[in-house]
Amino acid sequence: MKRMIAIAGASLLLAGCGAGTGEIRVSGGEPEENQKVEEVLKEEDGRIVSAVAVFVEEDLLVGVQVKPLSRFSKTKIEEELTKEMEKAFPEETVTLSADLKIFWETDKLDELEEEEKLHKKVETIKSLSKEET
Amino acid sequence: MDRQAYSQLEQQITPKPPLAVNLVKAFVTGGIICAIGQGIMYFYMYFFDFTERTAGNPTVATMIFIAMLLTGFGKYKRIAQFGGAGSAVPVTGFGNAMISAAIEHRTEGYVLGVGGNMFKLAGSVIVFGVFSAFIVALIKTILVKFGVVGW
Amino acid sequence: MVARGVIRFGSRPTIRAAAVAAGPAEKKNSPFSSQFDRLYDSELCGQKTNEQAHRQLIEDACDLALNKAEKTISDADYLVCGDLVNEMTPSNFAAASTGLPYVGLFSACATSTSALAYAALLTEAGAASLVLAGAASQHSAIERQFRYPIEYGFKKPENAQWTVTAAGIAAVTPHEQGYPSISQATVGRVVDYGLTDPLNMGAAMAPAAFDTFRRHLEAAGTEPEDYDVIITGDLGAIGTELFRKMATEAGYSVEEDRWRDAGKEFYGGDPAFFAGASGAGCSAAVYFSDVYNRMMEGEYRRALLMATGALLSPLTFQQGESIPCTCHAVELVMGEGENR
Repeated sequence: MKRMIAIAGASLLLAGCGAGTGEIRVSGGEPEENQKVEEVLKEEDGRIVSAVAVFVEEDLLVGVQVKPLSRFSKTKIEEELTKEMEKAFPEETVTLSADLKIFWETDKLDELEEEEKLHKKVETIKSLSKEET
Repeated sequence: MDRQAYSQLEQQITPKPPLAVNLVKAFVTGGIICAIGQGIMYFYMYFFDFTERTAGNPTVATMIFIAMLLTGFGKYKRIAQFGGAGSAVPVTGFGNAMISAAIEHRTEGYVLGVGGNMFKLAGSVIVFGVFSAFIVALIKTILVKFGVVGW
Repeated sequence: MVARGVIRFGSRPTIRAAAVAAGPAEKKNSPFSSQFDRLYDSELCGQKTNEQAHRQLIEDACDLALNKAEKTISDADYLVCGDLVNEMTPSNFAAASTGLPYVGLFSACATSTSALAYAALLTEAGAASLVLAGAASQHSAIERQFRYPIEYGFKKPENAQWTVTAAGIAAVTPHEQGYPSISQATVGRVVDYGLTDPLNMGAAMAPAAFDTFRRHLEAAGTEPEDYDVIITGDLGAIGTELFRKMATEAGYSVEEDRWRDAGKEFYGGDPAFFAGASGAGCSAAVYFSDVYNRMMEGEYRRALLMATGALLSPLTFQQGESIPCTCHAVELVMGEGENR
């Protein structure tokens, strides 16, 4: 029993510390646009663990995950990144959030095929990102 | 034996609480409760439209509800006997304080018994909770003003 | 008068019978449970509230004691008992339902012996032919009175004690042969050594126990060896050790198995009950079952009962006052000749 607990504890610890070394994934846009998004995000690389960005028509949705200790300045990072994204893509409506929910939902966008559903989802994400407590 | 000699003897004989063991137990208990809370928060975020910012409310409500059930079934005091502060500090401890007083005073009726005594212990949690929230908010406002942290 | 606060009973009032009613935790965990006369499976004893259960226990113990003495309630003259609830309402209600002339006694957990002494006085004075004397406590009702709600989770330290659910009543009559009789009683002084921890009551009560112990022995002109058993009330593991240390230092020789403590033994040393039992019913339950039975069997011929009580209230300890304590001693002898 004790050994089991020890093994479980150790594996949890390893899993916890190993996870999150994610990547940056961009989709839905022209190759050069995708490249550009990655560049902007990489400038912030020190504090960002992983990111997902999706272009849907007029919208650019970005979900980022910041490092644990940088979470104290999460809003600041969000603000900075949004500004830079808007500068890089003046014609798109940028929705950027460091919230895990937004990250998950943006990640799921790729799987959606139907135009209508996609549109609905984008609206949900946008409204979620604006929601206060 | 005079008072002083007796109080020395008393100090000697009364068992000292094992501080290190208690700290570890409290850490583990508190940690497990918080991990469960985090799990529930992820549940709400994953299956419902809650963001990190908004999932806190239903999570707290759920945790208090669980603590209430455990209190009613007489399990929470066992957890507390093992975990000490680890079970008292998270919001579940608040739920326990509230519901245990409510159960206790059930026999005196709903208005003067349950209603009047429910916050007998939890009341001080609210008072000092509000007070410390004020202090923390003050500190954070200052830190944000100086740009150390963001909102 | 023998000495200040010491009463010697020339007529030797007798404990004609004694009975104990107890709750579920006692049924399950107490090594004395087989000697208890009635055991309940629920803390509520079939009542709606803990306080009613408390009262039920007292009534039961009265009935059982009368049955064992082969008497009825109309033979009894007085009821002398007490408990720890505010204004002693369980005792008051029980007294109302028995319809007996009633004296409520409060000596906290030392009520069992103070009631015995009072009953012996009434009998000695020729004022009564049968007095019901005893004490009771009910875990939930008392914990709520002095500490936190029952289900509130907090870490109890090892020196905490567990209030018992039990009532013990003795039927005291004028002298009769073949039953334990009361030869001497010492009324305790209130001793305060300045201890303030309500979760370490054994330590607070030990000095009071020692004070009464010494006064009783000095007045009786006896040594500890003269007693087959010296049994304190609810000092618990820590209080007992302190009491023995004090006695040793004062030059008394402590004998491990003759120096008992009802509280320490009540739950058989189970660590789930911390340092042991406490409550007014604790000493009453052990005195009126185990000690009484052993005297009837002739195993103990002379016993010194010393119930200890902590005279605190939740108000006083929250205001930072210390815990004043007392201890009343009653000496029981079996058979004739000794100490006469």
